[in-house]
Amino acid sequence: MTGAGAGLAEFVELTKPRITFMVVVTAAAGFWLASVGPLDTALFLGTLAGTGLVAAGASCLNQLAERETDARMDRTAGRPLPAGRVDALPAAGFGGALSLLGTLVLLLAVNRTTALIGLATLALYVLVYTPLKRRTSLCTVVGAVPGALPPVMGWTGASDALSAEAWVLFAILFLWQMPHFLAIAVAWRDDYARGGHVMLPVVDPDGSRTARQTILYSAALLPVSLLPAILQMSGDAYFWGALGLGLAFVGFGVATARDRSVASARRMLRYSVAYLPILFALMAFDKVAS
Amino acid sequence: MKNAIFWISGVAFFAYQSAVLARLVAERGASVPAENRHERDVEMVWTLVPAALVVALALMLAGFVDGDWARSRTGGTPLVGPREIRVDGP
Repeated sequence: MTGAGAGLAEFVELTKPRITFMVVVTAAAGFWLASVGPLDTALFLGTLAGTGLVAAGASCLNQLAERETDARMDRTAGRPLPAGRVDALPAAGFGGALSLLGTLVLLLAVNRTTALIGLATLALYVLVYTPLKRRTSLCTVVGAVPGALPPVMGWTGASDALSAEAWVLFAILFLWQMPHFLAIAVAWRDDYARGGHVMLPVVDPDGSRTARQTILYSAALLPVSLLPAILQMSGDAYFWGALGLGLAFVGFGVATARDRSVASARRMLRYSVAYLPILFALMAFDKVAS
Repeated sequence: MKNAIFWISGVAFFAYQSAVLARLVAERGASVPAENRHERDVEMVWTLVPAALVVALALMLAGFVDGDWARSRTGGTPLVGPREIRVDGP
């Protein structure tokens, strides 16, 4: 089963549904936090649909660009493109169509600011981050920029303004991604090396640099995650929740740095996956009415 | 209380970052293979990025940047450029 004969499931898999879902959730939180008064349902749905479509399109185009390296890695060899379940041409058409549709939805149903951020996210992810993965470990830092823009898109979707609060959400997501992706890269270090991806743990055999950076970004995340309460975007419940979550994040980071084992990297990864939706849910539920 | 906790966590981050930077600078003085030198320089960038982000946020939040948020804090008065000062009363 290849090309046009591929089933719907293969095309859904090309969109990395779990990542796209997380993107939509963080965009929803950004929109909700920026909303003044009753929620504008049409604008809300337009923002989520457009953001989700752009994210899905970017994931599809990323898999298209990486299909050869994905085939060399155990973790990704089963994806539709390297496994031969979908051909490159329909995948390119699908990814391009999703990206275009998402951008049009943002432009026509939301606003120009959000559409431009969506385009920047797409370009950074597909044209900058993806090729950089084979050149330098700094690809993770560059890739964290488009990864941190969805809550900003949610914020601008509601307010059409790139205000400081939007950048606080950006910073939280940006800093969170480093320990998260470093943990993934430690857990699948050999796989990434086979695929030719220059992730930090791949070029850092003794793990000392990875350990330092895991602690550093976890430590930076703690004060930045408290900012929504300091700025009175969210209340006391958020503050204490974010403090507890952040201290635990630093704790997992220190444990991973000291242990430097695959098992501790996987524990860090599981915690980081739980951390983000809980933090954003706390922020949204404890929003200070404006 | 909340502000104190926020500042303590911020200072802890900058203290740790300074320690990492000091270590990397010390490595610069040591004779290491060219490959390790490259990785050390790359780690320097990794280390400076979160500080740059935190400083940029601090500048925005302190109102040094003429953004919408800063304008809303000052009732629409631009934070940079000429300002009109009106004095009412006799």
